Amino acid sequence: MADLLNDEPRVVSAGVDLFAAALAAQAVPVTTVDWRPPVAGTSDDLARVLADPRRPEANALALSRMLEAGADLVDVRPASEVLGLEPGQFLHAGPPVTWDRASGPLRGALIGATLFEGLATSPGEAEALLAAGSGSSVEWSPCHDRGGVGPMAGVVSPSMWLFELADPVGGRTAWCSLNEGLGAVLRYGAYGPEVIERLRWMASALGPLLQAAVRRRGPVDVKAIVAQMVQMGDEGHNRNRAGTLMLLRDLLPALVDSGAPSSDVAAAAAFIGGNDHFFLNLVMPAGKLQTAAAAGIAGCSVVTAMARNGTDFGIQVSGTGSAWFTAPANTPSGLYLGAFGPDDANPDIGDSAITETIGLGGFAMAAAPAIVRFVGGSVPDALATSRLMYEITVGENPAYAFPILEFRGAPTGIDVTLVARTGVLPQINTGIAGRVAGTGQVGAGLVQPPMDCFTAALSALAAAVPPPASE
Amino acid sequence: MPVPTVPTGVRAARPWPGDVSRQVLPGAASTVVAALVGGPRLTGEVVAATRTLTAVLVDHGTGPVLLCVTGPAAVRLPCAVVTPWPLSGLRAGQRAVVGDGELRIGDSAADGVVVTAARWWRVRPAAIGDVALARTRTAGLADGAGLDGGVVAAAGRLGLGLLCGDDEELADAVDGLLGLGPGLTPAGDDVLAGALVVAAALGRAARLASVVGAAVPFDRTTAVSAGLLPHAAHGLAVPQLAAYLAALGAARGDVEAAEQRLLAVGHTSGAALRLGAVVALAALAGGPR
Amino acid sequence: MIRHVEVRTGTYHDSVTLMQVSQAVQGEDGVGSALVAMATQLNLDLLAGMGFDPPAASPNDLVVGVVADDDGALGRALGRLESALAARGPGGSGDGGGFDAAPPRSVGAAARRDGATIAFVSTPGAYAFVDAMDALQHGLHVVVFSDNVPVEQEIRLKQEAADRGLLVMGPDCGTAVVGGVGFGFANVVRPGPVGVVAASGTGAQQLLGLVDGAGVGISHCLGVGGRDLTAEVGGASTLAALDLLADDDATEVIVVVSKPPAADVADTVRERAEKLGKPVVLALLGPGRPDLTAVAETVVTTAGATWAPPRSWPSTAPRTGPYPFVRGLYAGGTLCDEAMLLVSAAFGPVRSNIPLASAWALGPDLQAEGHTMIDFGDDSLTQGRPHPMIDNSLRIERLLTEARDPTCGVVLLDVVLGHGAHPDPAGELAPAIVRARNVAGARGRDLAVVVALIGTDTDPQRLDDQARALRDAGASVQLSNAAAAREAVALVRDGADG
Repeated sequence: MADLLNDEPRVVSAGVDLFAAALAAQAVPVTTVDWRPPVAGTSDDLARVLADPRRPEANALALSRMLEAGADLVDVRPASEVLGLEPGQFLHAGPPVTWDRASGPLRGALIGATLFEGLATSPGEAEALLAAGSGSSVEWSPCHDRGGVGPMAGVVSPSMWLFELADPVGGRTAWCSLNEGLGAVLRYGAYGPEVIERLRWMASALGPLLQAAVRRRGPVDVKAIVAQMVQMGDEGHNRNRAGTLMLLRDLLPALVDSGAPSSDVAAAAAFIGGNDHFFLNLVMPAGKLQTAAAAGIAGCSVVTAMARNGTDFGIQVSGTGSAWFTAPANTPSGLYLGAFGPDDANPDIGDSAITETIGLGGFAMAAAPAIVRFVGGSVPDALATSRLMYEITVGENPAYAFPILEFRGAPTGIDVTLVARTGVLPQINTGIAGRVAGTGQVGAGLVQPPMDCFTAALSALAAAVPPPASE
Repeated sequence: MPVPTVPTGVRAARPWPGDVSRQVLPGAASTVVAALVGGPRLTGEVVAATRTLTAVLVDHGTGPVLLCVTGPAAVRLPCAVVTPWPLSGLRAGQRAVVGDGELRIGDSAADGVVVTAARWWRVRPAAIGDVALARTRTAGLADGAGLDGGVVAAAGRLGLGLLCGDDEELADAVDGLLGLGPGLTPAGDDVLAGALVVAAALGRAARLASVVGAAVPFDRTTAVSAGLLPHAAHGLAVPQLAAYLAALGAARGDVEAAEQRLLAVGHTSGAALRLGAVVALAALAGGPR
Repeated sequence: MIRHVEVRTGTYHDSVTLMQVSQAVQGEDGVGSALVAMATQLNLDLLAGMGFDPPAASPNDLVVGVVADDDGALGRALGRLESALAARGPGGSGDGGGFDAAPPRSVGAAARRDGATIAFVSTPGAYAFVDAMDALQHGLHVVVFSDNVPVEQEIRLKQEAADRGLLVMGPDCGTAVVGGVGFGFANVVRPGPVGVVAASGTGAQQLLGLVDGAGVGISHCLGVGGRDLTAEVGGASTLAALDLLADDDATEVIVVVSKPPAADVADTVRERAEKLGKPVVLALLGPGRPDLTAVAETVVTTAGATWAPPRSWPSTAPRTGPYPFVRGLYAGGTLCDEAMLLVSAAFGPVRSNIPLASAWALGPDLQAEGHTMIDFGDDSLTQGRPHPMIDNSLRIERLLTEARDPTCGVVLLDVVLGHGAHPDPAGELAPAIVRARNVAGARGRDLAVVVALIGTDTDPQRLDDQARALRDAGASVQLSNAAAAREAVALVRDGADG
């Protein structure tokens, strides 16, 4: 803390430029804030939340827990074992949603999962079953509510295999499905025969092989791989190429040594190595472990989840526990595959924005210059995007350092008050799903959450501030 | 009509954007030189121009006085006029005019610089709270780690001269230090400066100051180094030395941290200042006088 | 004639900058009028007053209205608008280049980036609490220049500061000098032994000017905000400032300037002052108490220096009264108060928008009646427009109104110099004074103008030049506001010379 009367002043000026200029004219070092009014309607809530005496320590605690959290891949098992999922129970990405409001890709993925589980024999039959809704023989709930995450539609059914991760520091676990690859895949809402066929192979061959390899080898330090991948051109959301190869490098000896037929091992290795996004499904649960460590701290204004179900965008905030603050999801803008175009795009979907929640993905664009044009920008844009994200986060994660920013740590811990004060929204890199159920992936690009999620969370935080102690 | 008795040394620049340019820039003058900058115009000369510091020597009748223009990141010399960034493109030998609230350097408008003293900053003389404590804490520390052996030996002779030598012995010791070592502020001068600051803080600077003055430092060492010695004789030095001495003399002073910050000053300046201070504490703080 | 109106979203500029931009646009040939402002209700009303249909816009949008003679003029006006908006910004942040090239978006982000020691917050009052709290929570002392901050927020800020060992100066702290650095509206003062704790910005400025003018220097002037010594706030910042000055080697004499505090707060402050170990002059302003000039004298003599009456530049114009009533047109509230106390002591009621007694309140139209004093720096007159210390236009307008009013005899003005203030107030006010005196002269009256010039010799506007320009315009100039008010009283009482 500065000695006011003796230290040479270094001034931060917010407000009238004239006074900053007057200080500069006195040879005083002045940093001028690019100040603008907070998002309309938030000033009362902001004042109440900033006045909360618990907040500074709560946010500092959240940050330190996020930075401490580790992430080891400890096992690969079916969802029925990991979560006790019963037939007819499904999990999905984003906040809760009913069938009538569910988007095309989520419906498509649920139809596919119903077929995969053998609960229906045709898409039409599956759709009818699902349309009857929760309370009938089927039900679905968010992955996040069960301590896990799923990319895009994020649909998990009992027979699907999951990566299980553990945080050796906090003792928590998290999980995520196995990545199916790109194109016509369940998570993008496709449910054709080749989709179901691939799921069956993953459940019967890939999952058991990975399980054997992980159990033989021992835990894989996912956090360490993430730390390396962001120094190798991956941002951990739309580019996971280096991470995937490092995972394969770590697992391959144990896979080969597992005693499985060499043709099966070769098929698994080819599948993993041929899918640049395979490691996304490990970055995501590592992110879930990191944010779970910061969840549920009273007075804390740090975001612990950003997730979308294709209809709504939802966030969770540490100080408000498991409550979802939702608003209609935006539609990403970006580049499209083949003949697809913007009209084919579904609104934002998936739990993969957990990567941005921990300072990767769009927040780490500076680390991934190779894909900046794919998501519609230039390298200077990428640097500017990452720098801007430091304006809405409470700290930096030295474990995930960006070389081009002088190894500055990833911007970590989105603070809803900073979002409302600056009007700066988190930048998310994302895949784009087809609007119509069954289509699959149509492109990839950039998207932002709706501001209403953050203002709603801010209101809830404000309402939870204890009244000032009377003196 | 009352006439101000103390010139402020300050003439503020107009507080509007656009006045802050590379040719005319605001500066903060230390309270040591503010009166000089605010007084009548005097001519002087640039005696050193480095990446971080521009030193100007002015003669105002009673001997040369040193002013240094530095950027905000440079070591805070007690005679500094601090500008938002260091001056560049100047060279030793250029003409300088100091006074009327300004410092003008260079012969023409094209290669010249005008620093307007827009405010002052306060320099505080070093003070040692508990002198006995400071002496105890530094007893036996006159090792001068990292310094040339010749400097350490010369510092030892200074200590003896201060403790029990006659004026001639002290003058020999001072002679042995003045200008000893390389650089803008040779280590020997820094030892002398450190000793002078401690002597001033103890109220016993007169003898050493007069011996140093008699040795005519401006003939013996760099102008910058020589110009800093009169300030040292008034207890004025870089804030890192003042903070170190304050910590030494305070029961709960964080001596180690203060020492690290002092040792980080310059290449060897911090170490030499500390050595001079320790030597002077040993010689001057123990006696019954 | 062409009327152009547009709304721009996603951009924010402070009102002072926008006023400068508006003036630049208005200065283009063929431009009748122009308004570039944030779309607050007040500004939308102004736009309607210019004959526009106000567009739908939120206060976070920028609204531009231009009345131009033809397409060419409109094009020039819009071009000027772009260049003026682009030229914005002081270029003050010398460091943080390279990878941090984009400016920070919040006080906390700026504090983290550049290792700041103190924040200066002048954001609109509705938002200032958040910015100031952010500063405190990042370990910065803070000057809150903003006014209109709710008192419960002030209390919370000061509690947070106390918990963290920091000082909050303000809210509504117009003036602070820390070491040699002036914040807000601050005068350039010589270094010296006097430490000031001030609940009033212009009160502090008068004191700084007079003490410095007597050759006595200032160690620090810590503003605490006009409400600090109320019962609600309890003198939190005053007590903290006293403690800081008590520990400060450079400070030998301390003066506290405030309106009379709440009784129990006064006791607390007095108790603390007695234990400081340094002489403390408690200058509590009000009826029957010493004025600021008398306080300055006490401070100067306490500091061991010799006091002489502050300088003045008497008017050279012949006084050919009578001078029926005094009209005070003030930028500084405390100076206005001081003048009202002196005038009402002589003549009774003084009408005002900040009246000494509620019965003396002016109507909302501020129509003068008898002796009248208006504080143009009052919150209600500065919402949505620059402070009268920066913008002379409202007072000049009023000066000309008074010139036409046969009951107006003496106009009393304060002109405040220093950092932040108008760069050349006399440059605008002197011609207006000449014009006003001519207007009155044409109606057969002598309009006396008495100026209280608040500043120091080393202020950027050059005090001597300002004084001479105002004197040459026919005004009488006093460095002491109290002396200026007494001169006005004497003019009314005595009428013509001799």
